[in-house]
Amino acid sequence: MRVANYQAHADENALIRAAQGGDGVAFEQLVRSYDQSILRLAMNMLRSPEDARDVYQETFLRVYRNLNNFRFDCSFHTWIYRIATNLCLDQLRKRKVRKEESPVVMTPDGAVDRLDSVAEQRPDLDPQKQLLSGQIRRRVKAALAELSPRERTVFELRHYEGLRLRNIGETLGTTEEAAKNCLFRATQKMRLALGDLV
Amino acid sequence: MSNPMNSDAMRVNPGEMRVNCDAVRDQLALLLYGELNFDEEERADQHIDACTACRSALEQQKALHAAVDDIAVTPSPALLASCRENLFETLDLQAQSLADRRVASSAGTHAMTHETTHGTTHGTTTESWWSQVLSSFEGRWNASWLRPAGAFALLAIGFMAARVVPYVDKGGGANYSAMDLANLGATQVRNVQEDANGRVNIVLNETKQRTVSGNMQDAMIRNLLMAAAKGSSDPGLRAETVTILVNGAVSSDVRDALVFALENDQNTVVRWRAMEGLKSYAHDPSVQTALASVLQHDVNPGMRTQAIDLLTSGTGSAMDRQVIGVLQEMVSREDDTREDNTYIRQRAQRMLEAVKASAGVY
Repeated sequence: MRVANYQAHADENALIRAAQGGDGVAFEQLVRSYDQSILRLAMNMLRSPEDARDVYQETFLRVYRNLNNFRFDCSFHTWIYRIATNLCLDQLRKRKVRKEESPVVMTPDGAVDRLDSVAEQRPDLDPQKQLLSGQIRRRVKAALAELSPRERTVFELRHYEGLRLRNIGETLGTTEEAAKNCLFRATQKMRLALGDLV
Repeated sequence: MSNPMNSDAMRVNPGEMRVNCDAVRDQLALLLYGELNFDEEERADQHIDACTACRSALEQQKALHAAVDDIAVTPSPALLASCRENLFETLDLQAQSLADRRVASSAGTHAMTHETTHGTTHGTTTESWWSQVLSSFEGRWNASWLRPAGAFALLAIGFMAARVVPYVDKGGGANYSAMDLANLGATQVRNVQEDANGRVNIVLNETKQRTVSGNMQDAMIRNLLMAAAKGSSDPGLRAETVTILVNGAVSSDVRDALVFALENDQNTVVRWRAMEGLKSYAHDPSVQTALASVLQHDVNPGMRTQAIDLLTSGTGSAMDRQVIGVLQEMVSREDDTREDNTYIRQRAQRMLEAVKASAGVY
């Protein structure tokens, strides 16, 4: 397994070097290796398909423009996630100032999450469960929206992306301890907000 | 909330069961994420084994995690494909734009393009109008069939714009005529929304350009060029700008801009052109300092070799004391295994002899 990881790492480094040398195909391969994760991260963090698209686009444009500055000081994964999470953080901070509306919009058929139209569909539940599930989901989204941008980012990276706190610290340019404190605060807030649900 | 890192709070002590329960519950999430250290996890596990209430709290925490999992979003393949398409189109546009600028520059055009963006609510990237128009005809890499389609799309946009735009709301929002839209060139519909009264709000991403012309004696042209050399994110544009700026290097502000590019630009071509432009000014202390900095820090061997050549041939005996210090340091770097080091050391040593400085570090 370790040999396989090493091989994958070496292959990726070769791709990066080729892309740094102007190889468009290598760059496209790098994009395809990471873009699904980046789009998922942006969708989960921002809960807006338009904003997620913007973050996706801007992340890879920045990668493209700055690829020659990538010196292999950190993993490419960390570097690209750093760019994407910083863009998401900026967007979340702007929202805190603007107090933007929820992604859930009211329609004649009830509340609809705009993300549902651009997310993979889940298997249908029975109507009663669907109603209950809908209420819980709204509460969870509201609780997430109440987290500070930094807490939200750390929480998303740990919970949805499965990154270790050490990597989160590296990605956000902080220490593992600071990331741990941030995650702790986030989970406490979530527990306080949703304790009655579970 | 107690501090999750305070391990003392976790010690099992029957006399302080309440405190222990609070501490353990604070750590349940970190426990599930596997982010407690070995000792913390051991104490939490022991406590949970012995405490029914905390076992129940752990189950609640698991249910909470499941509820959070339930709102996870996985982008649809269609959205991902659309994002990829947009990204590669934009990259193609940028590559095309760079190529166009090179062509324009080689034709001796010293016109400066000034872009403004307005009407954008979400956009993070703006393309020059001209590059978008050109790219519409040029199409993507390996997609020449798109060229006639792009030309047709432009015609269609113009045709539709002439009919749609006069009906855009003229009451309070943007007030566009068909002529305006034609003049704007590239306009993208970003978002559409219809309110309860049937009014349609259309969010447009618009770019427009204007051209200013002049020669290097014109302060506005010089300032725009210096701003572009320093601030543009496009290395191709910076390289062309620096090439033009070289013609005005007699002016100290332009020289400062070139020195800045030489020391700070991330792109080797830009730094190289800046250094070429400063060749005739190697006697200038600020240029000497910049060349010394290149000698010490530039990652490119060609840049370092050229820097030592300029320092040793262009400065004569009027060498800055700080630069002498750098040369002495280069001479003493016997452990430096960079491929150009032998040459640099020899040149530096010869120069130190010429200015009658010792080869040792001060």
